[in-house]
Amino acid sequence: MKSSSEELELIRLYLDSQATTEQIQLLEQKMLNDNQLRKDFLAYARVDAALPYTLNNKQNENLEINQKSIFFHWSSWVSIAAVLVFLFTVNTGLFNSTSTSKKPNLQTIAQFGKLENCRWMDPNQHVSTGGTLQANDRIELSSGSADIHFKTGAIIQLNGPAIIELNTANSAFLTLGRAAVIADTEDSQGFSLKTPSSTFVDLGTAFTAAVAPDGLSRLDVTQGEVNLIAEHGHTPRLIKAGETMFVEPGKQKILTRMESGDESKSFIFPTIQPPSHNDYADASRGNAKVIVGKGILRKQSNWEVNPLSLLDGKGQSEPDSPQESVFLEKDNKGKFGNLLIDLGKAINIDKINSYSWHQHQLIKKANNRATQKFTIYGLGNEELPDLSISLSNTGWKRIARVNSDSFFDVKDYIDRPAQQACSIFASKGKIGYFRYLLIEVHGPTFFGEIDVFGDQ
Amino acid sequence: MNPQEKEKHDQFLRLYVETESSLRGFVRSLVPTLEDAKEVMQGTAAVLWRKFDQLDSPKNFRRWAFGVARFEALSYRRDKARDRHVFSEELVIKLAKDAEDESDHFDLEEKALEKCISKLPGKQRILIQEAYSQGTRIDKMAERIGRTPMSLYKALHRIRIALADCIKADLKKQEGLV
Repeated sequence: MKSSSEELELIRLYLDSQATTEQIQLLEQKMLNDNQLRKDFLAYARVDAALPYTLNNKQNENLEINQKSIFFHWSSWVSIAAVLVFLFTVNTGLFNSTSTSKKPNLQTIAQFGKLENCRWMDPNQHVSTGGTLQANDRIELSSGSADIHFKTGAIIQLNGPAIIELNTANSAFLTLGRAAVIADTEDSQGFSLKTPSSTFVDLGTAFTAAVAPDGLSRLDVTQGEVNLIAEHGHTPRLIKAGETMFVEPGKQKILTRMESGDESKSFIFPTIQPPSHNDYADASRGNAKVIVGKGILRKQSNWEVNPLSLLDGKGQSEPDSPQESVFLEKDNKGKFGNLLIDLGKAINIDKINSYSWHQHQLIKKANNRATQKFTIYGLGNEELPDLSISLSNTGWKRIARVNSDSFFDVKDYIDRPAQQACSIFASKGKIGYFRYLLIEVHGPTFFGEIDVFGDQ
Repeated sequence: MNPQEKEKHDQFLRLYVETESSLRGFVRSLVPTLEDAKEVMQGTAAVLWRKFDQLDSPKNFRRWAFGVARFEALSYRRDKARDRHVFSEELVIKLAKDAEDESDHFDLEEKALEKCISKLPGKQRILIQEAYSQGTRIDKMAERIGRTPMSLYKALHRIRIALADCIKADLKKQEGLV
């Protein structure tokens, strides 16, 4: 590097987060006028960023010999790993006499189990059943499925495309894709799977986690119970068998729960309350109004729906009742438009519930209008911006994305509940301080009711 | 996920994974800490996925991803600027331009870095191995190995400079310039 040692030290201080304001300003002044210093700064930063990943890869190479095609017993391959660690240590002279007690970070924590039709992101990657895995190993599976057996007895079945990093013998980080976890041994109790938005801690059974490329995490509990920790310091939320939860990425952890109703006009759901008169936005209070922000509301010559009926405290009285449903028509570009709720003033919002119901009486396949597909945004006390301008440019904050077909894993109409409720809430505290809520509708939903709970 | 969505998801993932390492280095150079870089990378991935349909050709993914990362870093910088001093927008734009100009070499750099790590003396190698392991705190590590945090920071600094110089030499060698 051609920059002076003083300049390089400034770079170090900055990248180690130790620089004072004055030092940052000095570095900035110098870099604005010095191409070489900028070049050195960038090169240094790239080394810093690449090291965690490159070191991890090196570690794998050093232990490549450990990749056996035979599935050893734990005791056998732990011993082999120990010998290899020892040889590695001696051959490379990594330790002096005063540091022999320090363990290199090469502990074997898991091994590959069954591999089916696996295609790896790196075509040169050699993986076979029984191949060992160490802490910080990153597995990038393009397609197929790979079982990972942890030392504690926990098993992860990874379905490609997926990326997972193993942290310890009882924890892993799922960056992308889908992983099914079975953690039913005594040692695997408390197995935790982290995702970009949360941590799922197994309480002795099985669950599936999925992470979309943008960090939206999904948890499906198949047996027993799982503690969902959306953020450090938040009270864990117990998710039981049969329950599913979405967690939005970002600092404010927003959870979304969807449930199937009893298909009666009472709208009874397992845990989500029925449509309510007690919410802040209820029409009886006169606080809020609803308009169609963009799009066309379905109407006929003999009836027209008032969007305010979304706040009337009740859902539809019949399974196929367009006259009681707020339903946006699809335009020629395939867009449905949006609904705007004005709460009259900004309030702290605790929870937003939405309800839908649709089932044609004779044609069983016709229930697609029960699907709830929307993205909900919030805006504080600012002046309402022009809704034709991109929301990201006008201060709207995305609260949550809802797709109930994805939630219920709908592959055919029979998988789709005819009556659905969606509940959006924060892991801790409030969803946010908003006056306006904008619901960008992405499907032909028959909305019956929307309840907004918050400051009274 | 229907087959069309799966195919899109798979294609995105392949392109993203191919670009991720060079993108990460670029982002790291624009924000103050590795943690900041992680957050910006997550935001970048989210935008890339959300707007993936707008990409005209997979061939342009890399350039497009760099553009998105630059805007994400700028926006992150603006958010952080409220409570902490960070670089001015003018400098960030200059850095972004420099980084984009050099981004074609990033993959070669990462390969060179692997070689350079193996050339390090064993003690230095084990030091960075531990320092860059997930969850390592430099102050705790320093205490454990009987050094002061400052001496450890300085030692890591010397290793990073040695690696950066080694990478540069390796690339020049490959280009036949040495």
